[in-house]
Amino acid sequence: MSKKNIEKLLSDLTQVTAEPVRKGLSEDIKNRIPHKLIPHKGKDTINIMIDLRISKLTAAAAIIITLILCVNFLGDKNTESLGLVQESKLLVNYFLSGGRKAIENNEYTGMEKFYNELRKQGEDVVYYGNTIKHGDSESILMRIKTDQGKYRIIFGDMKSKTITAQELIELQSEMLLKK
Amino acid sequence: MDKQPDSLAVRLKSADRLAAAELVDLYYEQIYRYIRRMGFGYAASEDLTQDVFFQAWRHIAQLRSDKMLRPWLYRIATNAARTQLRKKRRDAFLDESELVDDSSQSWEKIENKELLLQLKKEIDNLPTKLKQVVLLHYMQHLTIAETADAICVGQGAIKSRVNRALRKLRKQLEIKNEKNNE
Repeated sequence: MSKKNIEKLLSDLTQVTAEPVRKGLSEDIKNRIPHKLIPHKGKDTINIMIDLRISKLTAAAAIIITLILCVNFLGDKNTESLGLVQESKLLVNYFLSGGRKAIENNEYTGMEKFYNELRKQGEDVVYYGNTIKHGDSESILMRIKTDQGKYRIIFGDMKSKTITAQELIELQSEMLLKK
Repeated sequence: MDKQPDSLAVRLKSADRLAAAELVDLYYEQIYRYIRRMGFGYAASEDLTQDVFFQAWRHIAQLRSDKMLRPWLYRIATNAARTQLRKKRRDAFLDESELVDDSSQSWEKIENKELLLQLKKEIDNLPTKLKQVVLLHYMQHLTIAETADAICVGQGAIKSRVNRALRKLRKQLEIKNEKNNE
């Protein structure tokens, strides 16, 4: 059998194995054409496309590091002052605990800041902090004495009202009894 | 077959969606048949063909020369098929009944059907490197230069592989013939 014979056989085989292609296939493919094709910018450019699958923790860490690096790069070494680290921590909490807990933590953090601010201003304020369950509408999270001798109180569900000293004592008694 | 491939490549590079559709019309049958001839089933071949074009659109920047459009597509197809084969053993997803459709009318008209079926079997049994050049050069009608571009080796190596593949096929068919004659 010569080389030409084999080539002839290959040519015949090509013809008989040229099976019809499903007509809808071309349409299926065309439907996948991206709406925004990325144009080629020229010979000196390259396209880098990365498809990464990483854990939530790694993603959160990467975001924090990137943010801190960006801020440092832009010249402000004190990243704390921008609240960036705090926000990043919140982001990590959000990833790790599924949102709700992160929001709770954020509210407590906000209240803590508020409490510190009031203390700085010399207000008569008491903060019960994390001992109060989030959403508890009967427990006092913070109390602030007003000029009229009354008390402005903030409950665990973040609702507030102004009460008298007597009412405050009653509320605190109930809280102690519950505990 | 290649309708103004140069201008098509230029339009593709400028993110022309019509050019992307034109690319499909021109090559989807070729690419599908190439993948089928590599031994994939109907469904797997369709999926892979879709992937080939999708990758082509995504990596259009890699198309260095306008004239290399066809071999470039075949290179993507070859790599996609190779990756798929690595992921899964071919036998695991290939329906044996899809391998050779010898019941079709096109086969009935052929006089030397047995010989062709034998040839097909021998091509499938060739080492991957030799099988690729046979499929690309003889069955997909790529030139030696295009075949070389499609599998990223020199033209000399392609010529050598073609010769080795033909020798091997000839030898196998002769052995089979002798056995039949006995």
